[in-house]
Amino acid sequence: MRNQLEVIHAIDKYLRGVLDEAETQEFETRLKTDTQLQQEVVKQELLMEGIKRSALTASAVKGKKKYKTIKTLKYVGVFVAVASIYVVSKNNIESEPKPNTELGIDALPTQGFNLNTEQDTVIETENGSVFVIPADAFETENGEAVTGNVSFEIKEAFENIDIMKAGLTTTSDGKLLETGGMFFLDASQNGQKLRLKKGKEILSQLPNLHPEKDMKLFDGEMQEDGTINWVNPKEFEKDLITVDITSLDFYPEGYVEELSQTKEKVLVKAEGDLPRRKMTEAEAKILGYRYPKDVWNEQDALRLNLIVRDYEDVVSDSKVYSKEFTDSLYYSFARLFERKNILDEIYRSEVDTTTISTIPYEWWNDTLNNRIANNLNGKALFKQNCASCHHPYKMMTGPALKGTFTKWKNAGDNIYEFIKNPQAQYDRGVQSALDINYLRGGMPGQAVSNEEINAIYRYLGEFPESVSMDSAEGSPCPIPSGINPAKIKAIWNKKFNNTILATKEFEERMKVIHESHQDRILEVYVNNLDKPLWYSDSIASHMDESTTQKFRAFYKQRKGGVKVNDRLANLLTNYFTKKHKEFTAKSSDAFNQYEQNKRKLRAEFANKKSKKDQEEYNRKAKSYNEEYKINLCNAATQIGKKGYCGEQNMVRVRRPRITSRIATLGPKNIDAYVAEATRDRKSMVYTDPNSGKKATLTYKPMKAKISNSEKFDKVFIYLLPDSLSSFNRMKTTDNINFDFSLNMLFTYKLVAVGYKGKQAYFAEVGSVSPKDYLVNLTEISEAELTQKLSKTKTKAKQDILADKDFYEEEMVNTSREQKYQRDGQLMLEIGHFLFPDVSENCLELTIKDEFESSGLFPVTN
Amino acid sequence: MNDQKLIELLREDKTDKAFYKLYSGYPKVEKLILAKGGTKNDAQDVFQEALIVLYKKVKYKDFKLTSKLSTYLYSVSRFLWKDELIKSNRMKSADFELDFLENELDELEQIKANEIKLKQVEKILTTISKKCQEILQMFYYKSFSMKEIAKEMGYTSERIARTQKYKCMEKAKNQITL
Repeated sequence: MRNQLEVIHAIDKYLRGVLDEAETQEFETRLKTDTQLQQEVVKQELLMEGIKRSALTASAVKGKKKYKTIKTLKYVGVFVAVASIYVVSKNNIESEPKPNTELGIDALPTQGFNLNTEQDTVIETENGSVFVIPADAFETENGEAVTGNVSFEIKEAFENIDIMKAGLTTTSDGKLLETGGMFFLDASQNGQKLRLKKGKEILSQLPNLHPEKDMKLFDGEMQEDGTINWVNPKEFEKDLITVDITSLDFYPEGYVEELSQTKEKVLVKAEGDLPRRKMTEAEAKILGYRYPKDVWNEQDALRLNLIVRDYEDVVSDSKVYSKEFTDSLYYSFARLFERKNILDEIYRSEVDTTTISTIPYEWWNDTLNNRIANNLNGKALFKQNCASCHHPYKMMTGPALKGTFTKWKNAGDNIYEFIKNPQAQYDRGVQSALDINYLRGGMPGQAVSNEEINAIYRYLGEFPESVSMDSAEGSPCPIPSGINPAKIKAIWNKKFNNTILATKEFEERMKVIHESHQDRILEVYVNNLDKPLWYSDSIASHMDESTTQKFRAFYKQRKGGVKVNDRLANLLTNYFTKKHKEFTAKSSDAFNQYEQNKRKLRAEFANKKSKKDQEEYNRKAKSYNEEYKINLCNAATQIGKKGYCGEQNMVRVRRPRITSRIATLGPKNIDAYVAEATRDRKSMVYTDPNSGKKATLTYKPMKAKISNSEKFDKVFIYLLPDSLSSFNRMKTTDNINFDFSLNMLFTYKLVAVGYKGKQAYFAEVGSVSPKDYLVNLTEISEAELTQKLSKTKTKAKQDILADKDFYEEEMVNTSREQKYQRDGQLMLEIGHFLFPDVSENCLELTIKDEFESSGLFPVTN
Repeated sequence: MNDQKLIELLREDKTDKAFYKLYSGYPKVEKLILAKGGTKNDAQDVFQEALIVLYKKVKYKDFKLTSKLSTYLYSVSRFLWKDELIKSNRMKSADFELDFLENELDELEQIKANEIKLKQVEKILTTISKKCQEILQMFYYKSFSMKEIAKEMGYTSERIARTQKYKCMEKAKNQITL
């Protein structure tokens, strides 16, 4: 602080008695000897007293005004009753007649303003009148153009006392007018009088003292006798009529139309492949469906379409959309703006403290990458997500993590997708994934984002800063140009009813605000709730070149305002500022949660599937081994060889593939022939080269056809051999026709289980022979099914029930994935429409090819 | 509203309301001043001054309600107008009787003398910006804290508000002559 300010500061503290004892003493000691300081203290004390006095005077003036206003209003009421003239005049002399000194107009206080003719100017007078003077409005009385600065004077007479003092009369062609006040406008340049150009108008907003009266604005015409005749009455702009704000449309132009089209498209695609079974409430919740309790009955549930209510609302009648839905979809895009809010904060704290609305777009995107990235703590993320299985440099359950990013990148594989859903990468046969799986076994999917993955690798030192953000995979999304939907949400609610925002007029402006892509234009209107619309229109017309013309046109309509209490206006503005940030953050949170949940559920399902695959493989291997053992024993017995029956001779076959090698390589013996026959399920005749004896194994084809096939989502047909612990599956590609090759050594029992939704259907055939069967399934309860299966072998029963359980899991997963797909597609299409500059990656919600939509895992036997 | 209530309002600095109520005494004062050679403007100035004198008296001196407040205001107005007339040589003191006791008169004289100085300061204050005036009034009259002022004026920190305040004071103080 400068020296003098410091002196003032010290004296101020002394005079206000806020110094402590020691300081006071020190100050007073200095005061005794320092005459200049003494003077300063006296001056400052006077100043303090003066300030108080000026406040008191202001208070007295206020008291007087209130006293007068109330008195005047009383007077007007009486006056009207007697004269029964309801027209009240305000008058306007637009730089025309010279104010006559005899009238005492000069006695009125003059408020002078300096105008720059190149721009619109808004003036607020002491009485609270607002005048808007357009650019280039004046010319000389000879009609010459005027440039540069112009001095503009306003005299006001709103109090009766002033009007009388100025000797003003209030007659219009001999009739007496009531007056609500008068004002005089005068413009000059270098002492030369100016007049308004033709077509230029000065807009005024006056403190309306008589809101109940139908007031008009009159022009004053100076008469020869020095009085003024008031002519040319004009209507005042009317207050706008407010409507219920929720009945207005603040969406970007075309959003609802686009939505209806997109939605129909999306839905048609999705229909038909919905699983038709009842979901539990918990499942519905997981899937994000709203669970319509009131309409929830068995039949509806079976249709299941009802559960997909969000969509149902729209589809049932494509002309009627629930606002709740269109809103929530639109607002969900607020998440794209979250970074902008963070950056606003950074900008506010570092760059500029006042003009938040003018953050340059370049600044965002320059700052964006580094700032956001630095906010993620790689170390913490590593600990939280990876450290249980990975060490940065050492082999643990999983491989050392450092180096894996580069390795994958060099191999041209996508490590981001792998980390999030490893199973999908295995399934697709991505080499890097298979390598890891082969070496280390499966890895569960991790609920982390690409940016978080980047942060983790950055922590491991593998991922240099400069490279990190260039890679398209991990680069954060740019902030879209356009209005943050959270800001719309913050104003589009009942709180703003009875403000200028709740008007048809503002609805029109909102469309143009969307067009401008400028949040700050919206803020102009929100910050000026207490002003007429044209006031904000005028400001808005300077803010964005592309929409200047439109806002100018609005401005020219001269739309008024809505009366709103200052305090309320302030509160609403603050509400807006606070809420839109909150909504943005919430939208982003909700989205992250959705994504995380999605990844978690997918990883869970992938793990279940992988477990089921493993079980199925084991079961098949076991079945094969059992059958092989029996075949071998049988064949060996036929040629009289001993030692082939019993456990000790069991060939350890890990997988059919290995067996096949035995069959094709090396010298064949009976083991190999039997293995080949067992694997291929084909008949075999083996002649022993030593004894010439023959061994025969016989397989015969058998077919089954489901007679009521159209009913079922999925049919399993099991053949249960009397000699094996588990079952064989009949092969099918269409859920209708099944075939199998029977081993004639066994007696088979056929069990068919079909599902429609969760409902099971059942059929069985006691003893199967090699021929064609027609199978008719009948409805069966879960208890009955278990009962029926109770006669079958324990292992087979368990396996059949495990099939059923997994089938149900998969149903849930299928419908969930379908919902994700619809959500994603909708998000993508609408997102593209609303924010065309945001890349697909950033709008991403889509399920890529990692999702297999076809029924159960592929079944081979 | 009774006088005691009005006095309380003044003591609590709720002057807007108190002054508004007290203006009901104005017509009588206007009549007096018009009768004693003044104009309506004079009447308004005098009455305004009287209100301030009343406030100062209530707030800083020992004020006992011995008559109706409107009567007291009328008397003060009389005193002030007489003073004005004498000062402008328009009337001699003898023509004008006052209804105050000696010691009361002394006190009034004292207040008045002080107010004349303050009036000059007040004039000076009108030359600085509106914003400055507001800040200073908020601090010294309305007793706002710096934090409140910063918020009111839209400053981001108290520090800015404080510096502004001192700068405003500097501007005004430099114009004061003793």
